[in-house]
Amino acid sequence: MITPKPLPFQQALDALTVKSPLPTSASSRALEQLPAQLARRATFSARTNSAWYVSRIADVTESLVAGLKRAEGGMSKPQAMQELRDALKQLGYHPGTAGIEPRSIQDFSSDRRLNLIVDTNVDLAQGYGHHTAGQDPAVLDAFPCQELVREINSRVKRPWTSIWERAGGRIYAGRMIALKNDPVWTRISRFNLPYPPFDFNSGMGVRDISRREARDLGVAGIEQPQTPAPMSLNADLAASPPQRHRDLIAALRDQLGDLVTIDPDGTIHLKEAAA
Amino acid sequence: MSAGASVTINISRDEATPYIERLIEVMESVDGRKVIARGLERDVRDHLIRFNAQNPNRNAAAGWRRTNVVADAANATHGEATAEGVRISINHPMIGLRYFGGTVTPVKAKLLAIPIDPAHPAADPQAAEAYGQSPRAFHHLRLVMFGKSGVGALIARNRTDIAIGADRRKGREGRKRAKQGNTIHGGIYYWLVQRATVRANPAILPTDAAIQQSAATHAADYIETATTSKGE
Repeated sequence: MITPKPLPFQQALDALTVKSPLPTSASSRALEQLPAQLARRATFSARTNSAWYVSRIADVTESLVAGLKRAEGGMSKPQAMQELRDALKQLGYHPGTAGIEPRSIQDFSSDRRLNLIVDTNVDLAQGYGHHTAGQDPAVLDAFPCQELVREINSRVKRPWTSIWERAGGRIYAGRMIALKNDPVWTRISRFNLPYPPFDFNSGMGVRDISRREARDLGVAGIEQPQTPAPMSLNADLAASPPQRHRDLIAALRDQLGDLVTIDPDGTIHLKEAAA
Repeated sequence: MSAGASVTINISRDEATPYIERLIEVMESVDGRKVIARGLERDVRDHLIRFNAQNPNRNAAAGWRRTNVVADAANATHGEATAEGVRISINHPMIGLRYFGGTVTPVKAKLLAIPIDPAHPAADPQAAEAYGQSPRAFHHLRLVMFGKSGVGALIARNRTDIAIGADRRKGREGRKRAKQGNTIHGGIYYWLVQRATVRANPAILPTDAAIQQSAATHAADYIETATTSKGE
C-alpha cells in the first residue's frame, strides 16, 4: 500500500543532530586534513567564517533531510538555496566587494556554490543513514556487499574505474563491487568516509548486493562471516549541543596540534600540512 | 499538498497463497522484516534512479537545467521493519505530490511562481535559468498583474549589453572602451498563479505487484541465506 505518510529517516537526522557549526577560514584542500571522525561531527564550508551562516546551512540541511511539507516548516531545494542567499545578504556579502568573480564556485551566493553546499550536506547525512542501517547484523548478512554505481549523469565524469582500481578495488563482471566494510570505500572518498558522496558533485552512489549475487560473482571474502562496523553516534547524541561543541574543539586541538589555531570568536584556521 | 510517500507491506493469513505463505514465514521474525525492508528499499531506489535517468524535465531540450529531483528522492528512501510488516519511506516533499497528484497553493507568499516554458512566445530569451530557482534569486524582474484575474507574471526588465574592449581610436590605444551592445527586450520568467494542479503519475513508484514480487524474492533469498549460513 502506498500512502503519503513517510516515517522520519532517523539515522540521517541523527547524523545532523550531532554536528556543531565550525566557522573556518580554511580552503577545501586544507579542510581535507580534518580527521573523518571530526569532520562528520561538524558543519562547515570552505572559507566560511560566520558561525551564524554555518548554522543556517545546518538548518536548511535538516529541513531537507526531514522532507517535511512546506506547511510544517519544510522547504524545497530552491527555497533552501534562497534562504542561504538571503542569509548572505543579511551579512552584507557581495562577491564584488569580496573581490570574487560573480557566479564562480568561490562566490558564496552563486548557484554552483549553494548547490554544492546543499547537495553535499544532505547527501552526507543520508549516506551515513544508509550506511548505519546497513550495519545491522541481519541486513549485513543478507546484503554483505555493495556496488559503486552512477546515480546521476554528471557533466564532468571522473575516471571512477581507475580511482577504484588504484584504491585496491576489484572488478567483477565489469562492476565495482566490494564488501561493505572493505577499506576501499574510505580510500575512494575525498571525505575519508566509507559512504557516499565520495566526492563533490560526483553523481556516484552505492547499491546493495545480496549474498546470493555476491557469491555468484565470486566477490573476495564473501564466504567469511561479516562483522558490523557501526559508527555509533550515541555518545554525541547524549551530550548537550554546547558540550558537543567543546568536545569537538578539544579533539581538533588534540588531533591537529600546531596545524590549528582558534580565534576567540570560534573561527578555525588550518595550516596546510607540508606534503 | 506536498509530502513524501510510504510503501507499507502488512500481510495477513487471509490472503495466503504459496508465495505469500513464504513471505509470512519470513515476516514473522524481526530479522526477516529488516532484510525485506532493506531489499525493498534498494528496489525502490533503483526504480527512482531509473525514472530520473529516463525522464528529464519536459523542457530539457530548451535549456531547463536538470534538477535530478527524483534521484534526490532515491537517496531520501529508507526501509524499516515495523511491528506488523515493513515500511519504505521516501522523505522528499516532491514525491507524494508527483505520485498522488494534487493542487498546490502558496503557503508563505500570495502567489505561486511557475517557470515559463522557454519555447513560449512571451518567454524571455534567458528564461530557461528560472527553472529550479526561486524568483528571489533574480533582481531584474518586475511584477505585472493581468487585470483582476489573479494571474500575473514576473517579467525581466529591458537590458542592454555593454561590451568592454580595447580602444583602437587614434591617441587612445591601450585604453579600454565601453560599447553599447544589443538591447534585450525583457520577456516573462515566471507565471504567477493562485494554485497549480499537478497530475498524478503513479509510474514514479513501482507498482504494488512489483513491490510484492520484490518482497517475495527477498524472502526467498533470506530463507536460502539463513539456511546456508547455518550449514543446514
